[in-house]
Amino acid sequence: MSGSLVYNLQNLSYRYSSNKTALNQINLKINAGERIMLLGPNGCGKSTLQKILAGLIFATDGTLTAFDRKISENAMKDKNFSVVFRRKVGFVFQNSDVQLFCSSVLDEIMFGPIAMGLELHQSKKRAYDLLAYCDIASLAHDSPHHLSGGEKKKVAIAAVLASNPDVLIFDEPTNGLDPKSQRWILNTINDLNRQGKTIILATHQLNFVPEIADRVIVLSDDHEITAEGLPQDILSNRNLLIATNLVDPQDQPC
Amino acid sequence: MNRLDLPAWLQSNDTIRLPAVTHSWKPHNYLEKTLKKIHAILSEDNRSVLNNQDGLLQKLEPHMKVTGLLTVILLAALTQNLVFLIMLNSIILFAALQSRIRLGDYFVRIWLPIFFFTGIAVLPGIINWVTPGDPLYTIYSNLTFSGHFFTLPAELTITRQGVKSALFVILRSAASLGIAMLLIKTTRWSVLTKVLAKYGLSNIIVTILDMTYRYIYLFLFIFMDYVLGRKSRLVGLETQSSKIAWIGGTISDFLRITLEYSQDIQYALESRGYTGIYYAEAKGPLHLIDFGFAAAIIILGCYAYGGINHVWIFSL
Repeated sequence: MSGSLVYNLQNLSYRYSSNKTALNQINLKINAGERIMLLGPNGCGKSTLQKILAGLIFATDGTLTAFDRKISENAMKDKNFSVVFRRKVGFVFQNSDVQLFCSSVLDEIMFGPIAMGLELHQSKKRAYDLLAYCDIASLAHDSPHHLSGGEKKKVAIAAVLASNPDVLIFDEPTNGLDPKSQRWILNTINDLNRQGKTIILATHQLNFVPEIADRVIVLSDDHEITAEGLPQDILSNRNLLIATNLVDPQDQPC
Repeated sequence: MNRLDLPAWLQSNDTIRLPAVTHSWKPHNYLEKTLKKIHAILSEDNRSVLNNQDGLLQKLEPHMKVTGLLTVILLAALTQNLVFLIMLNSIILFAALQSRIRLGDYFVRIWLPIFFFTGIAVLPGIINWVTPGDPLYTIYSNLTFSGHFFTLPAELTITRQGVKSALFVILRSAASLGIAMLLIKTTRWSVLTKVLAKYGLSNIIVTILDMTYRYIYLFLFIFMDYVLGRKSRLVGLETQSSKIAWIGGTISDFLRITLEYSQDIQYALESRGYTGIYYAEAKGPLHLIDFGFAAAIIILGCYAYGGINHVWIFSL
């Protein structure tokens, strides 16, 4: 599926305050409705890139254009724009604990719709729809912090979906989850993509790549894009996967 | 399990009219900015230790350095010699510059808080109402005012004794703060705690100090992510009061998270055989610079208690 340009990254770099490079000269275009998978070893900058795409941190060099507008700290100070941007882009963090900050699951899911200005009954409807969809209706009044890892991840996803964003960014969403929870997340992501949502997902798990990605971006230890292409092309390039620590050289290819 | 379809509203693009933006003079993102600032200060301290190994104080053997600097703090606290305190602050500035600490950092970390906290606190002490004595400057005299509950003293002067006391407090505070900063900015925290353990501080306290520094970092990162997590979902606008309410609620949640982490840390320690005994490294070799440092401390000590007492500053 291809559509209008959502993101355009030109020579984008990011350095921490310690001057350590997290991203170096990233050039990337992402179209509406695409499923982009970011692959790369630990510390290559996947999460940083996702935070930049979510407008949470800002490039130190280069430009990021999203929805036809240049994204910078100053641009996000324009509340008229930032409100619309936050509605359009949802970010599911790797660590669900840092994303769940309300006292009950129901409040957590209603947080976005209420902030958007929806009436209470509309916000509640959205929350209960999502509780049912995510099969966590029985947890509505529980504290998010007392849930299992899989349940927390479901609540985190439901909380983001409640704002009905156009772009969904997932940072290693299947990390540490059991196979059933992993399968649920993959199916949900594909369901959402079929409705036209743009998906940007970071992971190490190569076995999911073919069924969840239209295009794969590989980041290297040098914090640069080292390869970009169709899932089958990337996965068949064993030298690339070894060079980027995505497979163990001692493992025999299947 | 049968999978449900996505809710109908989620299958279409939202056409919701988002809340209208109103501009406010009130500060935004102060929590985020404060966290970033704390992080920047901690990182800067860490970097200055790691990157400036050739600095004057960085070259010293840690035990010698800690002993020497603690002795100087004691000298500063006990001395009655104002010249010594002025000289000591000059030496601290010199040592800071020689240890690659930026002049701006030195003033922001030492003299700014001294000026705003100690300076303001001792200010009333310089007038004759608080510290009677020889007048240095008369603000008013021969004034009579008497109310129902309050009678204004006839004279308001700045006294020599008041100024001298204020100078002592300010210079002592600046010297102590300066030495503490030198110690922190030129010594790895892990080395510092090991030295304290070697000097007999209880194992449990040293372990807590050691871990506190590490986990301040960890919790700072968690809290910064916490703020980002909320920011990413803050679709609409929020009032200042709801932001403050959130911070209040978050602090309790965050304390709960830290409690859970501390429980996990305790389990991790126990699972690796922690018995409460802290391993402290043996002393490093002493070099010529360490003996020079010790000699300088001894000279300072002698000067503090036997030095020149009749220079111009004491005529105040």
